[in-house]
Amino acid sequence: MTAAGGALDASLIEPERRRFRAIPAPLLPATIMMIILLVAPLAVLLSYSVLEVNGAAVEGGISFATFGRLLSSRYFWFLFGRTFAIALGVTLLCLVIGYPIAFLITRVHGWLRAVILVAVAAPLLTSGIIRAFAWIVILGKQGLVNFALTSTGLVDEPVSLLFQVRSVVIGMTQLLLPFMVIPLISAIQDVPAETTHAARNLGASEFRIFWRVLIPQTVPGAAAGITLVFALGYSEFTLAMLLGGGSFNYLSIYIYDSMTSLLDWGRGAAAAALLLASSLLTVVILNLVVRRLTRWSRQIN
Amino acid sequence: MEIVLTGVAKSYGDQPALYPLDLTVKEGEFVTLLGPSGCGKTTLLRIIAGFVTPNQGRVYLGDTDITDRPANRREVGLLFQSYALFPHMTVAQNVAFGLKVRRLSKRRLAEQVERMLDLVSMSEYAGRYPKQLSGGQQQRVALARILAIEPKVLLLDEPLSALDRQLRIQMQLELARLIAEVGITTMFVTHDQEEALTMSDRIAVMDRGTIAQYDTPGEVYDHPSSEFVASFIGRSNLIKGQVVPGGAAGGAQFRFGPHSLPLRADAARGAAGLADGAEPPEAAGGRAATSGIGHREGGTAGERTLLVRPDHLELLPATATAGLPGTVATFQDLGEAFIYGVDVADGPQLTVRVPRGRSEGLLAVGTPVRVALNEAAAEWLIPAPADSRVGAS
Ligand SMILES: Nc1ncnc2c1ncn2[C@@H]1O[C@H](COP(=O)(O)OP(=O)(O)OP(=O)(O)O)[C@@H](O)[C@H]1O
Ligand SMILES: [Mg+2]
Repeated sequence: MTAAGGALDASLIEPERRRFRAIPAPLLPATIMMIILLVAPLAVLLSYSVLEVNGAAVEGGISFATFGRLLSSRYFWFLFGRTFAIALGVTLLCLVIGYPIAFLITRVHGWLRAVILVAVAAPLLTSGIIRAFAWIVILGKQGLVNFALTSTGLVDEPVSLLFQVRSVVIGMTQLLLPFMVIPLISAIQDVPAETTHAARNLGASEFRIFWRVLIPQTVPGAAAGITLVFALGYSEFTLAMLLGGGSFNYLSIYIYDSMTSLLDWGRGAAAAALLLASSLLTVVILNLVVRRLTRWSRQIN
Repeated sequence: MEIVLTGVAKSYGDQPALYPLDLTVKEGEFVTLLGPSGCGKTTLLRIIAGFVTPNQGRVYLGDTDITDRPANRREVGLLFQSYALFPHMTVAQNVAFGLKVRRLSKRRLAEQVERMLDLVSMSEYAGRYPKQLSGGQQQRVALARILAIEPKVLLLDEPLSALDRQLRIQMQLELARLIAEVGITTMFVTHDQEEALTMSDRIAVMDRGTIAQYDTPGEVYDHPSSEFVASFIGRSNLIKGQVVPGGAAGGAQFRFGPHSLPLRADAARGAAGLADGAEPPEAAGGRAATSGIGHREGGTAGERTLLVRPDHLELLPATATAGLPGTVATFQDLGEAFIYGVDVADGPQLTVRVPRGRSEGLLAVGTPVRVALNEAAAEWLIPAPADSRVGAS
């Protein structure tokens, strides 16, 4: 390329416009609603974590004693780790199960596609309680799974599936799967078919095309799914409560107990603050990793 | 390597996209597929690349029948109109992709990538992602990526159509140079006739799923096999009339309405053919459509079409005795030449191209003039089509 050509080419690259824009007027009512309904209550709640409270009553000035108490508790750290691990596990499961489903949906058409889509999205259309009870029916000692296992003679005694970490993981995976599948579908559909054709033309096997051409281009979609599933799973309450059983504890349950049974609003608020902060931190780190992985999708300035 | 298609046809559902056709591209040849949108150019290329399975016919690469070979084992390089670079890979990784499939050693791979990027002058962009390149640069990376695997033949599907005009002309020259440098057998798809005329050894003009003519650019321009080809390539005057004996050349004249034009050199040969006349018109398709065909056919009484290129006509003053009388009806300034539309009295409108240097000032619309064949004129009697429209108006 000549120097003149180089200059010409450089001028053809459009600079990326990524400036912060003020909130447009039509979004103002929604913004105000958000502030009243979400930001304000959250601020009130979080304020309890740094005030001296006795039960639900504010007694004194600002203090970080509650945080100190929580962070020095080994049980809290255990709970924190478990919650994190379960949310992460559910995210990975959703990713592994979600990819094939998303691929399937992009490959089939007509009623079959509709059926699969509805099946995946179904958890979003039912109430959390009903969904939890449905899983109890399926996973219980006299449930569907155990009936199948015992009647085929695979096991002698019914296995216990319910009220354990695994039932929570199973339930959450089903609940959160659509949040993974839907962004994946759009990511897969965004992959230009020509790139897979080009890969085939260059001699690549279907296996290589899948792993080297198709999957890498869906990373932005997977990242969106991972963020959603992790954040939702990390703070999930109903399913953890109903499918975990009496002895199961989760960060959200811990907060709930602090607030309602123990009336220790300070502890509840501090735990909630930590839940929120760690969730945000994880999502931010995740996004930094993804940004690095998807450098290719951005134009240079 | 030579590409040979025999009887290849393709329908999508019951909609035929390609009628059975034969086509041979010789080793090292640069052939252009030229035709209007939807005539089957892409389909033909995709059949050769293995992305579309023909309903019938065979595809050969050299002596090997590759009709049933999967696309990833054909060694046919296809350059996509959209470039189809892998967006998640750098320029160097894109070029290396096909080489990795071939399990080259690390060192040889790096060498080959560098050689290719050098060839297309993109070495300094090796670390960039496709999104960070201009259209012309992406184009060159795509070319380097294809050439890196040293395919046996190269297929290009409108590789220049996404570029703006200036860049297109620049890339056109560069592509031609690169391809000549590599010396690879090439099939190039375009619906830009200028591109086709400047770049190719031979042009296959396609029309609704058939090959209307397959010949050198000069032959296709001077001796088109049908009105379609004549009007698709370059500007043309297609005059309907009859061939009658007589004229100064001692051969024949072309009569339309009250006018007549002498048939010269080539067209006189056509008239000689008309004299012995009985031969049936031949199909204007496939390999049969060679330059000679126009000389052997037609019915003496039948209506024929005479092709006169606008640059074979000249304008004379109305006082001249030669030529056909008419008036200037339209005028267009092309820069290097003027294009006049002249209404011939009791005749068709003729397009005349007057080089800027040759014209003594502009002629206003309404000016009476006479239109005559100039010295360089080479008219061409269009061969009568197979479904002979003889006698029809
Ligand atoms: N996948 C397909 N399914 C159905 N019909 C198709 C398909 N691909 C092409 N066709 C049809 O086949 C015909 C030839 O298409 P093709 O893409 O080969 O045309 P083309 O000459 O490349 O046109 P263009 O210059 O617009 O690219 C068209 O009528 C088109 O509508
Ligand atoms: Mg096409």
